Amino acid sequence: MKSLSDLQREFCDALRAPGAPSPVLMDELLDDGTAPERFNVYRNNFVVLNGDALADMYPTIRRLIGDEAFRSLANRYVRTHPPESRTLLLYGDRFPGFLESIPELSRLPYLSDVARLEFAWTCAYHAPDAQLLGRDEVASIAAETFTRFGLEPHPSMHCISSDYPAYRIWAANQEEGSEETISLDSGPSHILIVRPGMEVETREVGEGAFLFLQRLQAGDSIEDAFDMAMQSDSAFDLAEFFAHHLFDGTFCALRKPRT
Amino acid sequence: MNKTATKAIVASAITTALALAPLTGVQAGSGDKSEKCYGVAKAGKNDCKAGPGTSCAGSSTVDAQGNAWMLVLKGTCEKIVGGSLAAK
Repeated sequence: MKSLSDLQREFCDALRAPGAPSPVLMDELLDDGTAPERFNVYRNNFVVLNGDALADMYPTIRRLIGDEAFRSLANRYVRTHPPESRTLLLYGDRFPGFLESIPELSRLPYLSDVARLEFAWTCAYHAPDAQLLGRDEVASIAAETFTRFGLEPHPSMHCISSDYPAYRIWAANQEEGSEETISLDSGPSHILIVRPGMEVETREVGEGAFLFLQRLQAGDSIEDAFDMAMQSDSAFDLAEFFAHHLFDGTFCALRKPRT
Repeated sequence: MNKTATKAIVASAITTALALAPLTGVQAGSGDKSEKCYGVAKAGKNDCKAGPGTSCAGSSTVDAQGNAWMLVLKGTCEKIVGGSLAAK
């Protein structure tokens, strides 16, 4: 008689294996003469339904490569990286890296970045709500001391950068029948994802704004984040950035200076 | 950039932002021509289905259960051209 943990491990391994389950494992299951058939029903649902969850997470990747290729990749992903959580709300966190590892997809080097964008979108969707930064809070601080403060980005904020026009590729695939042709040579993209209210917003921003937000998210003061942004992108316009984004829900609070 | 200059730029940027008439809602960035602002829902999303794990239907799809591995790309990726594709 096997120990329960051995039996569970064998059962899980057999769920993920494409071949027939071992007779030894089948002997351990209730013997009503149909154990292999019942096991196969369960195994099929395990692979297909987790693959469906992956397709819900990555609708743009599915459109880009087609249903057939997506299903084939999903089956392989589910077997390699089965869910580790009881809920599937954020299933597929390793899919972007998985896509990079598939030799047949090496001609589509932007896929993993688009996948990262899609995963961040769903993370933002499920992120906690937060109070947004208000004018009163900012107005109560003396202007000359602002440099030492930090800005707390909204908890749903994700910054994704790509060597490819991942934002345009993603955006063009949000509507059925878009005929837009996109050149991979049209440069890198910097993408900001945030959900200030009920809707997830996906924006393309300049490199300076991107670095500024990343540094603020890492805990830098406004001054340090701004200096870092200017070093890489001297065209970064802080006044324009704040005019649009200081009170639009990108930020939820001022962070007091470190003493 | 020296600290005094940074301080002045930051102070003036924040003062300007405060002086602007409050923009309503989450569309505040939409006047900015250099950025697009998308608030789209995921394809196929509806009230009871928002990302993975939110549907509990059984499956009628049958996984071929084989090891066969042939990746036929038939999607919109054919509309993305140039770059390293040229090196194939």
